[in-house]
Amino acid sequence: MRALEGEGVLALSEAQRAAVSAHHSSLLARYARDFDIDRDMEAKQMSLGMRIASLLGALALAASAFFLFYQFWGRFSTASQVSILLCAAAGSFVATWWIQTRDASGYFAKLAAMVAFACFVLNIVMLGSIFNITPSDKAFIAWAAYGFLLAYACDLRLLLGAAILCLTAFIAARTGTISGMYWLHFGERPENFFPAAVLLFAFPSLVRHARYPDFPAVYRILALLALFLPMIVLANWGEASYLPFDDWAIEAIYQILGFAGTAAAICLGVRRQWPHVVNTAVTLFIALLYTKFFDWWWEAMPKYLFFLVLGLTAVLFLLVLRRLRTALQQGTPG
Amino acid sequence: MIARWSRWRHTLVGGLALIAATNVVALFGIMYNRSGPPTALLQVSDRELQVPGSWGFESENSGLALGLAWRMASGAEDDYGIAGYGSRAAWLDRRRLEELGFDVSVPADHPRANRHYERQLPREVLIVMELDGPAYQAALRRAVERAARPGATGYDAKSLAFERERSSRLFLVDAGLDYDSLRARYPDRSRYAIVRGKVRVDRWLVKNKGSLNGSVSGLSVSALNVPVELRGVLGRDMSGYTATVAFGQRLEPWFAAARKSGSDPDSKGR
Repeated sequence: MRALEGEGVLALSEAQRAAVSAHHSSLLARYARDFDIDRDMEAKQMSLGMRIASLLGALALAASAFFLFYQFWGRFSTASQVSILLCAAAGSFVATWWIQTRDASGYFAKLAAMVAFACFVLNIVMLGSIFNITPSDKAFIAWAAYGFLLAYACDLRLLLGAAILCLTAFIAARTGTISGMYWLHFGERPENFFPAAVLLFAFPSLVRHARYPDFPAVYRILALLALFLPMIVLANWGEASYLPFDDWAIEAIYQILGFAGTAAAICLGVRRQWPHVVNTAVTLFIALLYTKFFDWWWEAMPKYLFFLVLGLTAVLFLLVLRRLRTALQQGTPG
Repeated sequence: MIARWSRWRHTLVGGLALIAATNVVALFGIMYNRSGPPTALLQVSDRELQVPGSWGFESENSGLALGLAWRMASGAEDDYGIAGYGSRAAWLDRRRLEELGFDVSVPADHPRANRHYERQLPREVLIVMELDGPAYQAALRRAVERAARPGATGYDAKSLAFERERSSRLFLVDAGLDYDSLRARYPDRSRYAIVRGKVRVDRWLVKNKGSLNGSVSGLSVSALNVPVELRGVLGRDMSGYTATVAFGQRLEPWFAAARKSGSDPDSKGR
């Protein structure tokens, strides 16, 4: 307002200025009370610190819950062990719910949600240990469902990421078992991750996330990682593939698919104005390119030349990305 | 505000229902496994059980899970007299591997054989475990012959003593996909247990000639939790005891009873 007055756009009397200022202050106070918004830069920086503290606290509390049980569980009867595990899972969930209804900032609710998720994982893992249950990929489904529930209830991206990873593991394990392999080896065939990647990428386009504007980015970033990290592995290690070709041919196929796919993702990100997709795809493109540079030239080139090529490639990328940024800015409305 | 409260209430109900349902499903499976007469009851001793190492966080673990010390029933050239993983199983030959679902169409001496067989990942199948049966007797006989041959060393004598007194008598002797046909072949439930395990196909070079044999890379349930009521007998101290391991409807094992060697066989956890 001061800037507008300084440039002669706005001319307010003293009383009007005081009224507008009071209105703004009252609005900010209400938003801060109801939604715990940051009112200035200092508050924003403090919020970032609180988010980091909340994350570290949650990880530490989850580890503490695990080791507490680990330290004493052998002294309890089987019935007590099962009761403790069930009560810990249910109790931590109720505590999360209770905190969620009272914590406008959400930091404590998020912290409690992560501990609740850890307790539920511990619940299932320890039931398996206590009763010598054959390991099953179905556990990933229960963890994913619980993770999604907590993530959407507490608006928590970290738990959404954990839930997506569990779901990805389940789909990849099921894909792997089609070929007859034991499910725990699903990670040894990177192509097992492709169906999950496609589903994850499509999901936020099929289901609107009006109340969770940050969630589609998490889906798409993890989908891109699930699609292109296996491609980077296969572009360098063809023997891990299902394809019935020679290793060099498989590596060539995945190099082409990797470069073309990440380039296509960058274009899609620019067109749809998804900066998270652009950034992730650029990072993966560079990762694939650098691993191949290492593969092709590390032995053949003098080291100064190798690093010069890397440096020049980075400069070339900067130029391309600058053009992309310009394109993005021109595409942004307003 | 009302809408938000309603959403939270739904979250509470949904979350608790999910926790309850998951636990009910798991516990129902456990009850089913332990219902009815066990599919096998093996009387094992401390020879057949392994205490976990104390590395990592194990020193802070108040619980205890004992591993089953299984050995592979194999020919003389592959018998090292120790519980082990990955040993070549003569009985897991080409025909048996094909029955288990492996693609054994490429001859073992073919130039592409190595790649073809390396690419095949382990499969979960049913495995027959034999306690103190013909496989152990064959291993013992081999140890006796080695100790009795001309030029036998002190090591051979020690190996024989170890085989007689300390080595595990639990051998993996067969594998298949169908429980009933395996049980029909091994009907003695006090000597043979059928469990799930992971089999992989390996190409071996014997006298410069390629051959195909499978190996067992592990059992699906590799260690048995010791409940607190049996900890007085089954502890980290590997002193003489006998434990009854039961195998349930889902072929998952558990300690049904344990006693110090020489005590009342009906006692439970004393």
